Amino acid sequence: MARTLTKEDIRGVFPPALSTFDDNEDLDLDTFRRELAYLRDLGATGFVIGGSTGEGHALTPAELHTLCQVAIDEVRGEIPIVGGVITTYTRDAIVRAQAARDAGADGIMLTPPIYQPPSDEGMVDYYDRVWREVGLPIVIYNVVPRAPVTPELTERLADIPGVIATKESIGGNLETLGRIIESVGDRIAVTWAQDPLMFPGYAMGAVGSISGINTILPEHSIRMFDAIQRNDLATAAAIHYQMTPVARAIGLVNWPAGVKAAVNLQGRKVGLARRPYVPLTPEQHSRLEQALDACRTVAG
Amino acid sequence: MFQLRPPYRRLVAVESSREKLMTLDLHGIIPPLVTPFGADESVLEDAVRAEVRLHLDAGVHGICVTGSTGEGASLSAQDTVAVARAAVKECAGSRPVIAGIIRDSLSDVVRYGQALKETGVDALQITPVHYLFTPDGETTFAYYERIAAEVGLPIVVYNVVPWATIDPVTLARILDDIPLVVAVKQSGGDIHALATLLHLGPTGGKVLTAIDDLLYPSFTLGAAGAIAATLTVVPGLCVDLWNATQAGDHATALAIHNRLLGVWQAIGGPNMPARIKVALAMLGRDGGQARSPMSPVTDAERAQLEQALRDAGVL
Repeated sequence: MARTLTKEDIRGVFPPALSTFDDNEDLDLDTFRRELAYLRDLGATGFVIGGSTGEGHALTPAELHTLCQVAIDEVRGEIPIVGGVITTYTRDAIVRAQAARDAGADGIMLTPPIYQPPSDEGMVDYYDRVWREVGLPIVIYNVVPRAPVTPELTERLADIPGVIATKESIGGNLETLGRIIESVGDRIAVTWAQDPLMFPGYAMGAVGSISGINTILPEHSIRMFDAIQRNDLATAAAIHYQMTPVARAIGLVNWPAGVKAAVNLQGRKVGLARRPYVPLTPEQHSRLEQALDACRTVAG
Repeated sequence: MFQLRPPYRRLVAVESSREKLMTLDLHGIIPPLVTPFGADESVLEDAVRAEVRLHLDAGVHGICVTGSTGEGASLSAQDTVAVARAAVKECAGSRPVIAGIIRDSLSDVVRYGQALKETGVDALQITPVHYLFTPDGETTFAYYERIAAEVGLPIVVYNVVPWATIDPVTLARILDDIPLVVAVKQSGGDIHALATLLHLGPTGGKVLTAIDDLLYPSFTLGAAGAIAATLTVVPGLCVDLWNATQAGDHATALAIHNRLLGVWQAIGGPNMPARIKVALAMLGRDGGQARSPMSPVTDAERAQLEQALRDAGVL
């Protein structure tokens, strides 16, 4: 491992990379590299591999390993690579985290167990045990509505030495984001990841985002983040209202397919999602195309 | 609400799958068993067999392994096969055995399904994909159709995931139009969806309930049986409930319902597999340990479990 990832590294526009597949649903590594290079050159501050946008729920540990390896080779230590761990029970989380570590990843991003919710004690045990067994810095990924990482739990998890950041997504909301910034913002990096609400989340003080929209509309995302950093709220708001129709058109149903359609429509050919997510219907596709057409030029 | 648009298009049944389907009768009390683990979290096959035997002796109508109660989401394909094989051996054809698959992509489900084929299980209980973003109804239909084609075993659709529910119209269509789909297990606490599905009256398979606190109303509405966690804690009582309901003895059924309610309230919610295993231990059974991050049960939860089992009259 080239570096020890710290809270200072998890900031800015940190895109979750797409996992790209060929017609047989096998990894398409050339396309994967091309996407990473494109986003890095635009100013990505790091990548998560195998997050939700990267269909981490549908990757084997071996595939996660391969993707992390290729990503590390592509960025050559310039920016951090974080492996996504999205699974159900501790033992599989450890297997996946080890796969990321053995590939040379700088950290992992870990959801709560995605199927059966544990007790609060079980949740703390989950993060603690993965940290102790694997030893890679951890970004909490608060994305499972039925197993939310509450502000109280986040405080407890922040006591685990390996926990360096949180990604507040649909396991929370703007209110919990504020509470977490207040309570642990000095100890861990608090990032925000609800695509339709990036502007208010940044304005409240989230230090960055690992959100699907960063991959879908990277230039908009970076320009909006930069506008917020220089207190240019008018520009940030203008970009916000360009981005949200795209997020809405993708929706949450069949999301992985919608994300890839949005990227394909912009000319970055990234193939299809793994089944059972299937290509959009012609109506969905044309609605998305219209939303994308309306924001072809970044506002401000 | 749901758009009702019967009658459904019926496809001609695929003949090759018919023979198996003709002999398979899923009904009544089909408890989802726990998967006993040792201290190192490995599967204890002898304890699996002991649990199967206990249920058979209690007079259940079928056995379901590796579902949610069986921590199926934690099991590798190899573990799942080991548990299913042990259950099939112990049942020795006396009752049907269903094995659960809880995975998040088509390719993974097919991999597990193909591995389970050799175990001799009678059917597979399969959730829809459920990580955050759910497919729409058409896609879910195609998903089960594809699994049926690639695995070739009878399927129970497991409609359990609160954020990935399959609507009753789609469920009815899946039952009627995919010959290998033999049943739907309606869970998620939604008796309204169960009522709608039963009202639609799909004829292509059974409608089973998994609404633990409302088993009695589910049976009176016409559910063909149940696969629900409570059944594995108190299988004998649940068989009695089923028999009473089938006999139209509603006074007895209602009395049993009230004995069962506290049991569900004590085992339901977060950390469920661990709580169920504590209940089994109180009843003198070996459910082994739960896998991490399921965690030790608190003293308050333990007291609630004990009280519920006493109130149910089984302790």
